[in-house]
Amino acid sequence: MVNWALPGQWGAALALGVAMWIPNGNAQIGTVPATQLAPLTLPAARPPAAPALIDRGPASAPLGASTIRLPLRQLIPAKDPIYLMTAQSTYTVFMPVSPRYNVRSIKLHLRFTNSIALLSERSTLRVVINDKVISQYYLTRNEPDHTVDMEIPVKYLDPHFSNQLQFVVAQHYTLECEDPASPELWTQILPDESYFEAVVSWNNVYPKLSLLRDLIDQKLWNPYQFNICFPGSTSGNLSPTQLAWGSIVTQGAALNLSYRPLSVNTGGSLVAGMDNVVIGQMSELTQYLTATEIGAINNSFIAIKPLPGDPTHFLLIISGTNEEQVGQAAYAFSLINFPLPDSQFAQIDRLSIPQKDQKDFWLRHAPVKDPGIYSFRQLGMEKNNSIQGWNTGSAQLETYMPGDLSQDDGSNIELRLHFAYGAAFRDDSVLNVFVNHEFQTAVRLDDARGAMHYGHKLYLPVKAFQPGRNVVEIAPKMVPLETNHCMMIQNENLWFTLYRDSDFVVPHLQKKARLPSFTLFSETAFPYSATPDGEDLAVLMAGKDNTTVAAAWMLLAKMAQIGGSVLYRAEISYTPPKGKKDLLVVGPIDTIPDEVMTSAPVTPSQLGRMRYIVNVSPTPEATAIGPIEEILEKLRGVPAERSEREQPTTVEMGMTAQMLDDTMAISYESPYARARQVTVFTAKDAATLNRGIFNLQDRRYWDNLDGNLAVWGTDPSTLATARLGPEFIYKVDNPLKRTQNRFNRDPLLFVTVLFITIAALAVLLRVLLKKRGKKSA
Amino acid sequence: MKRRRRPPHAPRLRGRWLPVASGVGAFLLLALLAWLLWPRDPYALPGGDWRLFKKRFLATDGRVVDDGNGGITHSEGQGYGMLLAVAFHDRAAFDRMWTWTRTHLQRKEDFLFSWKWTPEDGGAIGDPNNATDGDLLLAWALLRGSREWSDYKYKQAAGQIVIAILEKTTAETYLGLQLLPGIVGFQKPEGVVVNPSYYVFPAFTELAATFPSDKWKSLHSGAIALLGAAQFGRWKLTPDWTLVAPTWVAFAPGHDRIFGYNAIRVPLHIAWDNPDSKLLKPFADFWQSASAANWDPATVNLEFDSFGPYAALPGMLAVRELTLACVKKTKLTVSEIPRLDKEESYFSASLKLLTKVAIRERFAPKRN
Repeated sequence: MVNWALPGQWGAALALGVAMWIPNGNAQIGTVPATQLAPLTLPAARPPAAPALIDRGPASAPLGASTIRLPLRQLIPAKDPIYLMTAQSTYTVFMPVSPRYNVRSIKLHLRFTNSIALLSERSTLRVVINDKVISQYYLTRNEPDHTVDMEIPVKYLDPHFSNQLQFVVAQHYTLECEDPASPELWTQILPDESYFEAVVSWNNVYPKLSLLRDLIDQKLWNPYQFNICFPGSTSGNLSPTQLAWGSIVTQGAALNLSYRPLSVNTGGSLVAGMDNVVIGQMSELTQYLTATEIGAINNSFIAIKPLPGDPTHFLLIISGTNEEQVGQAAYAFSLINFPLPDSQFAQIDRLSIPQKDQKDFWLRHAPVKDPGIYSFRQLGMEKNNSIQGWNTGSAQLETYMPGDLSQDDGSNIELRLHFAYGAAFRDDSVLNVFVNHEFQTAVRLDDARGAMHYGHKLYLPVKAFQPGRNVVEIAPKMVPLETNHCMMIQNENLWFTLYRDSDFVVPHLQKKARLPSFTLFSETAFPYSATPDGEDLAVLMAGKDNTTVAAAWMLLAKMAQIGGSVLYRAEISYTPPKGKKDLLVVGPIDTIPDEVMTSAPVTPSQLGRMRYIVNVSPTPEATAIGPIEEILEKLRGVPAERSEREQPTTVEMGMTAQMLDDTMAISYESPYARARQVTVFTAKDAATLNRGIFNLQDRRYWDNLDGNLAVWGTDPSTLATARLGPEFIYKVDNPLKRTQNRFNRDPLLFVTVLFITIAALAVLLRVLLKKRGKKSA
Repeated sequence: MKRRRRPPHAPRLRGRWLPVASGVGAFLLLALLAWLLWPRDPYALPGGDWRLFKKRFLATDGRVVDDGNGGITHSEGQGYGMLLAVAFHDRAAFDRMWTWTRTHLQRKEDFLFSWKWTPEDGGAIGDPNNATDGDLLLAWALLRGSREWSDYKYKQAAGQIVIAILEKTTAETYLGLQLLPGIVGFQKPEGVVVNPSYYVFPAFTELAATFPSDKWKSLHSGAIALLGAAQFGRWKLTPDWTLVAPTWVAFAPGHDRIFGYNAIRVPLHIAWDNPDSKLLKPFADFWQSASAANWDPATVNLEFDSFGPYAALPGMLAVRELTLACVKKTKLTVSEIPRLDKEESYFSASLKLLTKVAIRERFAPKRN
């Protein structure tokens, strides 16, 4: 499928993007008065790369405080609506409040719409924070669209945990007895138009290493922003070692932020208004260390202290007596979830990094091993899951599939369920099983006396699973025996328990990754995450300036979040890799080496231009085959695979169509190593590239990546994707296998070659027979 | 007792050993000639000088004795001794001196060094205040030692000293950032008292390269501004002590208004760091005119443009030669500076050996 925006939308989208970005710059910088910045002189922070998640509020904030905003959409899945159905319904979100904020006040701006069939005097919405009702509203049928602002008392909030915010509705359409599941009973909350607004100032940091994970906090409303300082360095002269250190530290911070975006700066000095990380050997960091601290540096060393002149941010020092030890300290920092000591500085005497064959043990999102049997407990179900009621929930399991999982795998994953259900259900009660919100199979819960099943086998096709994260949902639908109109409905018997000793049985999985694929990249960072330590990954910094370097670090950080591990063995340099590696190239358009583009489906000159795809006729997904081909396929035992998509026809524009504020990514087979992938991230200049990669972290961009060409601007609606050029099978560079794959893709070619071969053999046989005939004559 | 007779077939002793002895003798003669006539590196530091220095001024416990000042020891002397030990690749002496310095002079509170130690009554700190030139010299020597012997501990110690120097012994003036001679007693109501000879420029350069800080640049430019402003008398020489007042410089109150035993180190430091510096010219001009008057004084009164009564020490003359060679752009080798004399004082000997090291580092052809 080709997902290109129509040309007419581009201009409007770009204009919207620019208009959104400008007023939002400098969002969190204003909280530190410049007069505090002594004794070290710190250059002012640049505006955040893009303020996708934070808005400047009205100018009513008290002195020293700023107003920040958090859209409700940020707290729920990207595309999900919030519908509150039935007579009684609850929707829960978790509102983060970082302990780094001193919250002065907080309010919720809420927009919702209710059904016009509701009985106004009996239908209400109440908003509950941490089990305390903070507001309630009638759901009026005459005025169904509501916009309300409500104060959330700060005393009800807990800054150390996510706060539970619930929207609870009671909905009725009559004063008489009613059908509680009547479709008229609904209220919709509009998450894109609702937001939280808080007046906050920054708390002073308490400099202890053990608190680092709370300082680099995923509960911050705005993207976490920090600066990596290599003292004395200037833009463009960072060494490959420093590039690696910066990358590891950025990835470590990203992992602690879970899936939240971050913005990183780098330079030769500290930057005010944000956290700073200083990296270097002891002698290079003397201006940031005390004599006592220098005396303590006899190995890898990490220290934390308040930023000079700004106690609300921290200065983290990563050092050592030599380069190797600095690298070890950076890696230790990246394991930020590992308990660091309750002190201001620490030495790392020893750091055991798992060996190659142990890699999966330290991967946060380790894919399942095949074949293998996993109990539900291993997949995150810590306790047996009891569900009570008519329509009240499900058990969800999170599993991670290998990045190169083949979509042609015909095998099944087996569920061996251990569950019990109550008595006196209506016989249309069922247990539904979904994979990634798609229905797969069901069990009828039809024993009126109730039952317990042990080892109940269900089969889920491997094809239903995608590489990377998958959610298996086991949802009982328990219906009361009596649901007649105006009868008392007994639902206290509607019980279902799923035991955690149920099993998830993974068969031998077929591994074949068809690349390039941004879908795969966005789901699993594949193929760059194929080795979780990044051993097979090379990063070519085409642009040497610090803005490009920071952009590349942000990209690697996002990949680390997706893969769940630090790509600490990735080779980062200014020159193309020497070995067989998958390559990422990051740089402004004029710095991309021509040799990188030699195997690209577009020329370097085309790369810099806006491209509109005008091919709109659908390409068949499978080649239609005749009876002979059908017989041949049966003989081969392999069905025709999906045909390769045709390259779309494109129109190139002239000067007016040059890349404006767009960032572009294109992926194809590497010119340096067969069956390996190269992905180029580029834009017209380093600043645009940096902003583009910052935006890419936003799931509205990232989750919608597709094909192998993506162009995006400053608004998610500008994202356009396409597929160009040939595919290849990852790491299959054996000529025989490549030919086999070629034939698989194109049976017609296979038939042609087969006939030519038979004909050639026939001719040869005939010639030989003739010669023999002559001899005997 | 019956004497044993030599068997008749054995050769006679004289006949057998004579050719061997002659061969050995000829070889030894040849070796001696070769040793005498073999071309020597004119920039080599003479080991005999160092041995004599150690014999005369280095106590067995690692203390450098200033024989011209009642046998006291100061941080500057320890710094000089350690610098020379590195130059002469003598780690044992270096370690002895550093151990003694650390044990007896280093202050616990800030890693700097009390400047004076007196041997009376078993030895004690004579003045707890630091002297920044001694601190700088020690940090510099430690840094060089860490490079010479690849020992991180020396570098670590140098880093600690550098931090304390930059943090505690600098003061902002109208000429830019200046180096206080010590933490206590040099910031007066009328201005800041400085000693230009404490600005060890080559130490600035090397320490700044290893321990980067914005302050080094400020300190260097402040020092250059000071030397440009603090030129007094007919010969525009730098005084031993200077007052940097709010908007001018003057002779420091309470100190002799002379160019003497302190300021002699100013041209040495400048030449060592940058032989092409224009700041060397006033010193060269002075020595040329003094030589014309056939008198090389140890001190010059800058108020009355008169020479002091004492002749310049041999070490001071070595500095003179270095300065003149730099300004005249002529060649100067280590071998042109006289060997250390058995009667030379600690200060003269130190100046002479340091000058030799400077000549070697600045004039010797670079080898790959």
